[in-house]
Amino acid sequence: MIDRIEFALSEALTALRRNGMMTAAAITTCAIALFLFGGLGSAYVSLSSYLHALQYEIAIMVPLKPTTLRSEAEAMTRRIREIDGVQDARFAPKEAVWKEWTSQPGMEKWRTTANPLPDQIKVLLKDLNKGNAVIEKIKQMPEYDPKRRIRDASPERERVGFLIGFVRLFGGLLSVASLLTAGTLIFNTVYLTVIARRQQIQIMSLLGASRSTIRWPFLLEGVIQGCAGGLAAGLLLWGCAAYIGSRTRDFLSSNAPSAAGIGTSTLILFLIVVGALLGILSAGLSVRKHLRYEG
Amino acid sequence: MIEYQNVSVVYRGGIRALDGVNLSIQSGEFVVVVGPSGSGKSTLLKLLICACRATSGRVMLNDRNVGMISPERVHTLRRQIGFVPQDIGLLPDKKVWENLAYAMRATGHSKRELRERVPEVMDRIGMLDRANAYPRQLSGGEQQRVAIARALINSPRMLLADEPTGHLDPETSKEIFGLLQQINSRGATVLMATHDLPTVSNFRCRVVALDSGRVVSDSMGLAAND
Repeated sequence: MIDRIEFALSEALTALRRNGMMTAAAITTCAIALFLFGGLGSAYVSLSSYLHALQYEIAIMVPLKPTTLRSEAEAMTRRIREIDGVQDARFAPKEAVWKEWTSQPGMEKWRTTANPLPDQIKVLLKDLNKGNAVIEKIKQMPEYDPKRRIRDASPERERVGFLIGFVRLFGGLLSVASLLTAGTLIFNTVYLTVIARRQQIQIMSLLGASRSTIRWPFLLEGVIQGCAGGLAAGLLLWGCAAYIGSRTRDFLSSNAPSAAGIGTSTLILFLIVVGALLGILSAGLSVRKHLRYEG
Repeated sequence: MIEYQNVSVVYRGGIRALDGVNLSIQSGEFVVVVGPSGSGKSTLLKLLICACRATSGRVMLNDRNVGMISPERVHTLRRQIGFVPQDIGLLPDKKVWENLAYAMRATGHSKRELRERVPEVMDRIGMLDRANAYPRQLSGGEQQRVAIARALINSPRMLLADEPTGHLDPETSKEIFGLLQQINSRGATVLMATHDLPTVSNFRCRVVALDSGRVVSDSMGLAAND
């Protein structure tokens, strides 16, 4: 068994070394394709995560009747939390809201005037699409003051909701397309390698080598090419991310919602695994054609 | 024992390679199949290693219908038969000994086994001193010897040689023919396809003549008179 593994591995490594230019072309192609896939994928994940974080920043402010007691407001807050689509609800006393509002730059002059604001409940949504339904339910509650308008942030909700939907659909399609492109490019490269060595396959077959004996060196070759391409793509992405990060750090506001992207080591490992899978799949498909017994 | 029972082979496009061939070859025989190009010589050999399949009729090898062997099991059949292809088919980027070692490794032999067997077979064909040469550094006759050695490496009981003297001068052809007879004298069945009638006429062996896919004669040592 060890002998057979050694044979397959040594054949794969010898072929990679001997077909140096073809190997370099395969690894480069794989690296570029996976770089695009990884770059688009991680941009999609980061953007999606950023937009999800952003939606929690969009708050609906519900004004309460002046006669509402604090205990009634807190009970209402609990009821709001139970509504489908609500992430969180917090009671915001008018003094606290006024203080926060007047502490913003340029608003200091209002500090001396009487506080015109009502007590409010700040509602955060976990699903922006359910915002209108949530507002309708809140309007049914007796503590809500119908004389005042609910600040429902509908333009922001619509914009962010549209962006999330767009990123989800377009980013998903783009990732799938780049993965298919990567697969096709790797398949073509491995296929060319197999065509270049069809004489070897035919000889092995005529000598009585089993299909698995013929197939394994090619599969290993595909895996090695895919892994090397994945590693190169991962390192390239890591370098690009580090460079872009260092150039944009100063421009980003520290108050901006944090975007939970993919970790570098996870991304590199992921690309290596994807590369290996693409390599073995394309090598398997391309070598299959030459394993027909008539050959 | 090999038996062709009313075998016909029709390739795609309707090309009839064999047409109702009946032929029986006993173990240990030396049989030369002669005939012009396109007469079906190579197809007759290829049927035995499942490189092509009979359209009708049966090819029996030791009472086993080779046409019934599944593609997944063809390698078990091929390991029992040494095959020398028409184009020699040595791997150009492997040295002579590596070509032989590769044939053993590909069929599951260990490194220890090939260390013993490769020098033995190379010595048998008189190529031990050329072990480290690449195929391109060998003459046509030497290349053919290596191809025969490779076919013998797994100790088959049967050797098939497709036009082994096709590109060789008369002297080298005789040498190769002599080598095949020597292999046959050690007990292996040898089935050889050739259109090299002058060389065949120098040796006493069974000669089967094919024309347009049919057996037109089957006799002992009559090639020189054909």
